[in-house]
Amino acid sequence: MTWWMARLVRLYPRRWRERYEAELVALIEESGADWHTTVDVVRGATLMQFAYGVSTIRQHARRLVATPVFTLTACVTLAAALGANALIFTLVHGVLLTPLPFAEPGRLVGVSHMAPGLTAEPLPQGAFTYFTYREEARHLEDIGLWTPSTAAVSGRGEPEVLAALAVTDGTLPLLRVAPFPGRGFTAEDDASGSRETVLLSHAYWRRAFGGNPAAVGQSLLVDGRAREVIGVLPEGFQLLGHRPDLVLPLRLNRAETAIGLFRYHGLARLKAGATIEAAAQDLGRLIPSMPTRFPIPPGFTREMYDAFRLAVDVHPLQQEATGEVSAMLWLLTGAVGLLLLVACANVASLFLVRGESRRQEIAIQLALGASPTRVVGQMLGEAVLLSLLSGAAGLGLAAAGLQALRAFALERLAVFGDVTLTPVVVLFTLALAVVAGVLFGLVPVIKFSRPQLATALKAQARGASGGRDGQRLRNGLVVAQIAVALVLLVGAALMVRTFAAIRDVRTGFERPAQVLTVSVTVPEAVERDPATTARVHDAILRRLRDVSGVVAVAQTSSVPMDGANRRDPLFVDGAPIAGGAMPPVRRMKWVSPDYFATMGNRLVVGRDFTWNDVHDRRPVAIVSARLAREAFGGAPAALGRRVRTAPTGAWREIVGVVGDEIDDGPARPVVPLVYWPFLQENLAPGRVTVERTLVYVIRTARPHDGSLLRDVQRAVWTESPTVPLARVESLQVVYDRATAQEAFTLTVLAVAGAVTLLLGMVGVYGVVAYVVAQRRREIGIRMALGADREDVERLFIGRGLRLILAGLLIGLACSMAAVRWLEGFLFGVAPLDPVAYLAAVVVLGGVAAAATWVPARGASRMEPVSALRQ
Amino acid sequence: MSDPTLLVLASLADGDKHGYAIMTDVREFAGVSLGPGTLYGAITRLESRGYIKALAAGDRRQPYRLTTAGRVHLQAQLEKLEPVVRVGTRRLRQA
Repeated sequence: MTWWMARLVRLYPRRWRERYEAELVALIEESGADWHTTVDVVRGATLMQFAYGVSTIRQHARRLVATPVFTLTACVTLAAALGANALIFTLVHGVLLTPLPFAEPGRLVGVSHMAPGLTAEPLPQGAFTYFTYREEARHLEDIGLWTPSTAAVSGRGEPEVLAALAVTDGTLPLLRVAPFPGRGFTAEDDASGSRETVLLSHAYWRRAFGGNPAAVGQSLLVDGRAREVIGVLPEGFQLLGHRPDLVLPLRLNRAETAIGLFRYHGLARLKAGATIEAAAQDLGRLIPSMPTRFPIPPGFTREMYDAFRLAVDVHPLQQEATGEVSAMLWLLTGAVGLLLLVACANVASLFLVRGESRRQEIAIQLALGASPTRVVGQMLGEAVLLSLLSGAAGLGLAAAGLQALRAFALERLAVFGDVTLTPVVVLFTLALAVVAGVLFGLVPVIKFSRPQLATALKAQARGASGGRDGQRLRNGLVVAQIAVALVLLVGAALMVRTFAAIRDVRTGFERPAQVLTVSVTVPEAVERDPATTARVHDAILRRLRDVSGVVAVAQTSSVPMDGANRRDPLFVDGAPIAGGAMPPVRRMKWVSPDYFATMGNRLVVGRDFTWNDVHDRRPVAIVSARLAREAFGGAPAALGRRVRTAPTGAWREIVGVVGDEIDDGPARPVVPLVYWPFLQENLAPGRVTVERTLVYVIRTARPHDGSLLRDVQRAVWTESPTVPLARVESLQVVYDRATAQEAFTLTVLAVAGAVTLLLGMVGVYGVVAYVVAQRRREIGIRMALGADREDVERLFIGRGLRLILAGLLIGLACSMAAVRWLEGFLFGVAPLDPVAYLAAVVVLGGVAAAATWVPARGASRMEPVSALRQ
Repeated sequence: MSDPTLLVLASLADGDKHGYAIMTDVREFAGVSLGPGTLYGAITRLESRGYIKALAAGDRRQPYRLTTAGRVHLQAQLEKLEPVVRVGTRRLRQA
């Protein structure tokens, strides 16, 4: 027989070969080996492997079914842990590991700036940086700008405000997004003065035009101006979480561009082979030359520009997509990983106990000549099968969890909105199940695969315990479980404290559930004149005040935490800036009278705006307490001081100081704010400007249901029937969204902590109960010899408490070491907060002690005679 | 009819045989060439079900014998096939 035929025969299962190999080889030698024989043997070996595999799985399954309580307990424990891991991995995979949905996403970068001389926050792009980079960059294929906005569409049924995205002409091509039907923007579309055009999202095209390709070429009234529809975006198009209904050309005018105004997001595609570092260096080299390319606005100087210390920041675009959830997801991955370890320890413990009862069976198998490998394979096989079954159940739990999360995410954590359970997640979970199965399956394997035969047989005959080794191993597992449980509980306790601290923050508003926010736009098509536009807003507000149940109404350009971030430098009269540098950039809002009262914010000193301030365009301002403290040393000192946003603008007098609003969310540093009346003269030099889109804050005790919304709509449309409404939501929803990340982290940590607490408790109970069961005879003898019940109870409680104490001490040390990963998520609580640690120790220690006491009490209630008889 | 287990049972019906003898016998009476892999797949299944049993072997060639259960099973299978053969043959003649 040829050597390769001998090799092929070895493809048969080992157990099969032990019985049939010799005769098969004899047959092949006798009949001769040709290609048909070769194919036949390979086929036969494959089928036999399969048949043996199925039979082995059946054997494992039979063994598991024979011990239903053990199997169910282990399965539930593992399914919970594997399900939690599957769920978090689904999020990690969907949010962090899935590349952006554009061609060659690795070459896409975000381009922003830092300007430590101006502000600590990152600065986006200005038109002047964009034109410079686009014309001069050597490592970029192209660069584009984009900015989310809203657009009022009228003339097609009820007026509506749609989500829009304004982009430069290179943005979609560099993302490799090609509209169809129709075309994308060209340089001509993006040039000011040319015919105005618009792209539709696939969804809006279906909704408004019934998916008719003839929509291309039609006219759409956007913000009062007719735009030609030139194309339809691919289905599902989104840019970093923004899903626009309309995409408009940004139409920056190079000839009118000056230094300043950082207000656009920048993205670029690297040339093939270019690196981020090289691109950053290349763009950085262009920054000093920008004031020679573009004019510096009146009142500003080259020195001021240099004092910005403008520096470019080029980073993978993926980073902008994931934002801050990345750190949270890795933290939660760690937490559920720990949960899985605890579950493995728990199940390993169960396997050890079960192994004790099979000790003699294994010893006999080995004595009868079974190879240790087969015994190990059998034990590991059972563990892996159990783990795989649990993995499948865990996937079911994860799918249910994802369903619940999606309902939660839709309102709050939009980044999780599109996450689905993909085949990758299924594979990951099953692979994790196999690893976990091997992990907890190995513990009893190490212990029992090579037992001392005589000892095992004798031990079984005596009916004694599985020996000190087994007990030590189980004790070790329990200590580890308690230690890990404490780490997770401390994490959960710190997050509970964080959440409590967040809830205690003074927000600048009261009872947000009673505040309905509605965005109302008065497009130029409805009213071109800014002063009359302000009157329209004023009239709408009066109508809304008359709606039944409405307590107060006011207007603002942005409510806290809505993500709006309009900033400008704030010049203070009589506060010269050293060396001609720029004054700090401040966040600004445009509001109506009564805004602070409606929100429930307090007036610290001075007065609120009046309608005369608005309509007479009086040069007045209100600042937040934080800004008053930073710029003037305190609220009283701010009153009467004058401020402006440009060196040549008109001064405006501070007439009031109000409490701080948590504009970036309660867990973020308070942002100093400046408020202006929403109609302004000379804020931009020489112009009267009005906020066309204002968010109406309506305080009412009425539920925020369809009936209220209809009343609000009626009131607005009675005054101005062509004015669109948008973004109708409760301020509570806005607040919940701003705290969603903390809430989600807290929930996952709390659930992981609770499950590990439960597992730890079961672990302690199991160990003590097992020892009690094993030492029944000894207890009987002790009690027969006069030991009282308290002695027996103390004996076992002492044993349990020693394990608990060891677990708590190790857990405390691990928590203190591990807390640095949680530090970034904490707010208003120290990483070593004694209350959180004490609470975790007391809860875990108490529960574990109770778990010890139950079997210990059972031991002390034992009747000596019956104990001895058993 | 090419079920290898049935062919092996039929081959053993007239006496004990080892693998190579079954192979040549089947080729002769049924015109079917069973490869070694297929043959031993059938032998494994039949032995595990108790339809055949291995006899003491003089050399590496292992002879097999049909058991009573195997004989009953073969009989039952052939009886199932019988009407198929009969009806099929008659209809072919009539066609």
